[in-house]
Order: sequence, then structure tokens, then C-alpha cells
Amino acid sequence: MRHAQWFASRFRQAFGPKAGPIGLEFRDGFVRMVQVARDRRADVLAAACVAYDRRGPGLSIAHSMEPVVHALLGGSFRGRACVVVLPFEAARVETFTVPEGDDAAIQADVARTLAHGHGSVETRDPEFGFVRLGPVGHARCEVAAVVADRRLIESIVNPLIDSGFWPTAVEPSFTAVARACCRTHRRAADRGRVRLAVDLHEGGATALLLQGQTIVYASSASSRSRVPDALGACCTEARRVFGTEPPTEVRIVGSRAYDVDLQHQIERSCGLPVLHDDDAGTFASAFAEIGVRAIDSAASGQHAAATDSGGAAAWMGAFGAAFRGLSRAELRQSGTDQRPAHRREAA
Amino acid sequence: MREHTLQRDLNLLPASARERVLRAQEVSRSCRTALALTVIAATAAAASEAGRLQAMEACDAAERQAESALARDEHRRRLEAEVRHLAEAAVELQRSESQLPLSSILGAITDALPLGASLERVRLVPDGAGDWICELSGNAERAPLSHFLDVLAQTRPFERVVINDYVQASERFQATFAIPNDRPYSVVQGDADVNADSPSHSEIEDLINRGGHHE
Repeated sequence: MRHAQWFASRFRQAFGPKAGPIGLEFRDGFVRMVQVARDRRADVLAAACVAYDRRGPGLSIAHSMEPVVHALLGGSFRGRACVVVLPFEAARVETFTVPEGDDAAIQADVARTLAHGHGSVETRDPEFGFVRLGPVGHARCEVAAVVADRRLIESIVNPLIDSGFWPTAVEPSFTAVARACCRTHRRAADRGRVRLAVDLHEGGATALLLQGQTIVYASSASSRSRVPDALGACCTEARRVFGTEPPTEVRIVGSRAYDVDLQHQIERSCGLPVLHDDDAGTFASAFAEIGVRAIDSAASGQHAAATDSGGAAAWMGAFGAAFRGLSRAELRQSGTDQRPAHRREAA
Repeated sequence: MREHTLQRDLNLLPASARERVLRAQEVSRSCRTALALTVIAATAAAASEAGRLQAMEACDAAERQAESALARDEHRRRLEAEVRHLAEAAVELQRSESQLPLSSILGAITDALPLGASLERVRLVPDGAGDWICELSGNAERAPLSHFLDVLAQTRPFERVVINDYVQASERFQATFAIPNDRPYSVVQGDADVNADSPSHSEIEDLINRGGHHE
């Protein structure tokens, strides 16, 4: 049966519309999986949602991968490439300033700094990464460093590889959210706009300052109650350090994005309106399709209905992962050459 | 489709997993290449086989056509040979008939005919074996008739001179003798050559048909 599903997936990938990678996001007890057409990102080809056990960060996720694989094989997903978004608790994000240099030097500085840090993530066998935010002068630059437990990552990706999938990338949720929020406003007129995005989880949040398609500043808060404060600090710090224009709006990603009290708190703290996609927006129209497809794939009982697992805002992280196109050459480059391409495309 | 939303696509995929993925992609690519080559080879083989079958069918059709043409040609040759044979036979018959010394034959008969006897009819008919049969009918007494037939029997190349019928009351007789047709000859009665200056074939026939008498 599994082989038949596998060949059906290959057949659809070979003769159907070209599909992007499958986005898998672990968020707030649910694994959301979505795949969109390569040329029409609002065209959802397949979607599924299953619950996973959050009692422990490591072994429990490994045990939860079987229904995830089952959902991937049983759904209408095409191809094998997938992008995994780690749970918020599994990746620690810190922003700090390091000496300007090449990527290897910055990577070494990040590893040295995070190795002595303290956080909720077990870092005895860490996997490091960083995002270069921008120069701050005096031969120093700001980076958003990410550290995650390698064993936890392997406990997620190895079952996928064993099942025939190709996890081409693993990333923290804030980068996927940033990608989704940029895609939300991809019109040329919005390229230079500055906006705040909040990657909201039950265990904390990450505030992002986005200018066009670039992350200008990132700040992580371990408690959700401190999100408004983190947003305010993000605005102030970004304006002080980078001299950007003030943001014009706030986007919230997560299952509690439609919490009216939280929206009011954020609006009071930042003095900015909290906006959501209208019904004709990319994610709103895609979410309607997700509801149909995810409910269709929930026949086994292990799958959760999409409408019960948060609204469209809860799926934006999975969309951000699905929007990530990672070719084979980029996969090789990411493995051998850690040189980040400093793109300020909005500029 | 690719639009970078971040300064760099951060990737926390461990090196070991990355190697596994790359290896799986290599295997998949090799399998796809092998499958494609297999499909191409199978398609080429099928096309080749189809071409071969088509060529064989064309060859068979050509062979059948050639055999038919050969058969027709053989039949034509056979017909031509038959026609040629018939034509040659006709020419030979015509030549034989034209070379048959009828006047000499008739002269030999009339010379040998005894006094008092008469010939009513002299007729030459083929006997089916290549020879001619000369049929004589007329009136004669018994004794002269025997002498007449003896004289004919001594005439070369008359053979098998027999009397077929004789009516004593009316003294009518019918006799036949054979004239060979497989060799050249001249009619010789005793030591005399009766072939010289004979009337033509048509003249003799006219004479006979008019019931000419030799008294």
C-alpha cells in the first residue's frame, strides 16, 4: 500500500503541475504540512495537519514522526523535497553584534558565543546558523544567531529520509514567517515598506522588523506576555541602530493571531495597527483550500482538521517553508560554503 | 519563482543528513537516468523490431510478387512454346502438304489402273500417326483389281496396300494404302519416276472431285 502511494506521488510529480517543496512546520502541538504550485503560490496542491507530543523536545517528536510520514504518504503531496521548520522550543534565537568578517569567522564567533550561553535548548551537540542583519559601523555587524540540538533535528529528518523524502532544509520558524510575511506584501510598491512581524507561539515569540524582503532586526521573547515589550524594543533598537524608517503595520503569525486582547496590547505598545489578510488575500484564499484538503486527509483520525488547528495565520509558517525553493546546487553550497549572500533586494 | 526573502536562506540541516539526502538524490537521478535509458532502448528496440517486421512483410510481398511474376512468365513461356510448337507444326503440316507429291501419287494410281476399271474417288486423310492414308473407291473386276493392288504395293513408298471392301455384284471396291510422311521420298513405280511434270495438287484434287475417269 505504501509503495502504491509512493508511486502515485511520483506519478503526480512527474505529470502534474510543478510543485514546490513540502513545508513542514512544528507549531504549538501541530505539524502543518502544505505544498503549493511552483508558479502559483496561492494554489495549494496538498495540505495535512497532525498533532504531535510536546511533553519532551527530543524523543517525543521522534515518536510523532510516524503519523507525519503517514500523512505525507497518504496525502496528495508530490515529489520528495521538503523543508522542515523546527518547533519554537527547539531553536534558540539571539541577536548580537560580532566583528565584521567572512562567514567562517562569523560562524566561529556565533558558535563561541552561543556555546557559553544559557537557554532552553540542549546544546551539548549544537547545530549553529546565523542570519546577517546588517552593519552597525566600526567594523561590526549584527547577526541573528540560531542554535538547535543536532540530535533533535536528526530525530525529525532521519525518519523522513528513511521514508524516501528529502529534507533539503531545516530552519527556525522566524525565517519561514519572515518569508511568508514578505510574500504577503510582494507588490513592488511595498518593497521598501517597513513592517513588524510577530512569530507567536505558546512558549514565546520572535519579533521581526522587516524592510521589504529583508530582516532588519529580530528579538526573541521567551514568554508571550512580553511580546508587546519585545515589539517595542524591536522598533526602538532598529531605529537606533540602523536608522530605518518607522514601521507602518504589524503582522501576527500563529494560532492566537486573532486574539483581540493581544492585538490591543500590541497596538497600544507599538502605536501601529495590526493587520490581517482580507478574504481575497493570498493566505486567506489558500487557507480555504487547505481546509478542504486537510479535512480530506483526516480520515485516519490522527489528523486534525485545519479549522481546529488555528486560522490562516497559523499556517503562514508552513507556507513560508513551502515558499522556500532550494535547488540541488544550493543544497551543496549550503553544505560546503557558508558564505551568506548579503542581499538587500529592497534597497 | 525563487524570490529571496531573507539575506540568506538559513539551513540547520546537519551534515550527515545532508549527505544522506545528496546520496538519495544521486541514486534517484541514476535510477531516473537508467529508467530513461531503458525506456529509450526499449522504444528503439520496438521501433527496430517494427521496422524489421515491416521490412520482412515487404520482402515477403516482393517475393510473392516475384513468384507470381515468375509463374506468369513461366506460363507465358509455356504458352509461347506451345504456340511456337503449334506454329511449327502448322508450318510443317503446311510444308508437308505442300511437299506431298499428289500428282505423282495420283499418276501412279491412274497408271496402274487396269483397263475397264474406274475410280470414283481418291482421298488422302491423315491416319493420326503421322502418315497419310489414301482411300480409293471405284469399280473393277476382281482379277484386274488384284493386279492393280499388286502394282500399287510395288510402288514406293506405298505401304500396307489392302482392299477393304469389294462387292461382287456391282464390282465396286474400296482400297487403302499408306504413304509415310516422316521422310522425303519420291513416288517410283518399278523403275520409272512418275513425279516428273505432274499436275499441281489443286488441279489433281479438282480432277478427282469431278469424278475423273482413267480408262
